[in-house]
Amino acid sequence: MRETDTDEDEEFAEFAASRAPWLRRTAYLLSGDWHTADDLTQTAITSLYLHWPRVRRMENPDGYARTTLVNAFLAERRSPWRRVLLRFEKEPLSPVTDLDAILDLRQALAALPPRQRATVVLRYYCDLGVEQTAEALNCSLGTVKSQTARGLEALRRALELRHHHDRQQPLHPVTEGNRT
Amino acid sequence: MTGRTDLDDLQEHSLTLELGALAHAADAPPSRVDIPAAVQSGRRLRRRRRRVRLGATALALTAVTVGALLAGPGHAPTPVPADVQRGPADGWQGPARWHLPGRVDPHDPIRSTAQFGWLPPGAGAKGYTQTGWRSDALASGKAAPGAEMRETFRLFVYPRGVDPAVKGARDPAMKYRLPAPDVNGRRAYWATSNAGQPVSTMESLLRWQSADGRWVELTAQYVPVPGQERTLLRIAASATVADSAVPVPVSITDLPEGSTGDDSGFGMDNWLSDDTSDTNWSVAIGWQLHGYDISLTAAPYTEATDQQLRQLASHEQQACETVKGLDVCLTHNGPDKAPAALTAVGGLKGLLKHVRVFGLDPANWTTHVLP
Repeated sequence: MRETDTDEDEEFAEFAASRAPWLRRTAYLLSGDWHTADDLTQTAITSLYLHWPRVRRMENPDGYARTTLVNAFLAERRSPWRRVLLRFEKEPLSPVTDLDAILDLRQALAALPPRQRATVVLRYYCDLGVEQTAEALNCSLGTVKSQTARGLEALRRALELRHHHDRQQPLHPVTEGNRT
Repeated sequence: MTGRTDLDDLQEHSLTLELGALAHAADAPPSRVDIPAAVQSGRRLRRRRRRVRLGATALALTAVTVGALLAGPGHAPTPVPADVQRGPADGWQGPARWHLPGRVDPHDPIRSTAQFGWLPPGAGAKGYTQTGWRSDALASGKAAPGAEMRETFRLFVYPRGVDPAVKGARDPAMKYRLPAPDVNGRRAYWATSNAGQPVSTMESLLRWQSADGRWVELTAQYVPVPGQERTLLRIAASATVADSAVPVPVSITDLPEGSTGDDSGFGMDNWLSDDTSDTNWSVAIGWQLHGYDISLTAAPYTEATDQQLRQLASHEQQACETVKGLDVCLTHNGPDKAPAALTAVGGLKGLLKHVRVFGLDPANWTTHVLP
């Protein structure tokens, strides 16, 4: 291996190590489970390495990394083998209110179609604007706006419905970890 | 996070905070992301691209080779050497290169390679899921007192000839192998990230060889450490390794032109409860149509599930019907405008007419799922 390759590899390893936790958390919000999040992050980092000679010269390598991750997620969701599993449980998981809220949001997020979910995560977790989100998803500004509106509306509906049922009878989602 | 989200206050800032709290939740297992492995794999891909560019013969895809031997019981804990775990030259090849024993039958898209026998009290809900490269049997139990997450068990049988200690160890963090008591007289070990601790609450891995030589992996999550080794060994000893078809309560008699299941076939998840009178299960079948993902889901009708299923998706992207006690829904994930091939069959509502429903009694279910 050439010396420049070694330097590049060290630079890449440093970049990847510093960004991996952030990518993994984003992947978790996209996928809804940590196993898949690890797989997606691994895929994204491998792809980043493949293009590192070009990426390292970019103004915004973080943006490229994020787009790579989202693409990995959407590609994985296009595979018919991955499906969100809807399952319901009558027993409350835990009396902890904060945990309930976390699980509610996770379940509501998981129910969104993949591109809607990606839009919501990019806009509200990654704090991207409409244009940046459109760039990351390779779609129009109008699509980002409509997907955002729909995503938010679906989240509201899902949470509203959950609260409605909570008032009538306990109904909680089964936790993650039982999906691949 | 300051308590349950107030719907009226689900504003943008609130959502950002909620997502942040969710992403930083304390239940995250240790990361399995392996940057050196990514570099190694990336190098391999670069080399391949260079060779292709130079007009060299494309690299032949060959089955994963195995060779290294496991440390047997009684050996001191040893980390798996990196060059062994990732392979001698090419590094992690990924599950796509595993050669499964035969392709998935599109008429019977979900097959089980392992079945649970004994499970600890409370772990009754069972299910199966299949990806293009792996089939898992799953079981879910109750959350331990004070724990946030439910106990989860997953059984996976590696393809014949694949040794997870050599290749396919998708979990580089689990680099230590600690000897475990034999399972049904066959060698076994714990794969762990901690050389001094075979199991943990977050995740534990027990691997053993089945009678036919295939490696079996039991993954446990959120199981309290006290008594866990004994529990997992008992689960392993009672598990059955056998290929079988998993019947489901729906089938499709016709598919829109252009429907495809990519290289792997059609996908399916299902969850069953031991109690067939329980309403606590669902089945999902997925495929693609000109870039759209289409899902067929079926779950026992209840007022709550029915309402939730119908309201979670927008109307133009979902069609539902209640037949023979099952809520059956077709959903597509994609832009609003449905593919012409779907429109040609009357959209999701039209396609729903091609779904056969076999009711709640598993005795009536089918393994002939697709046309």
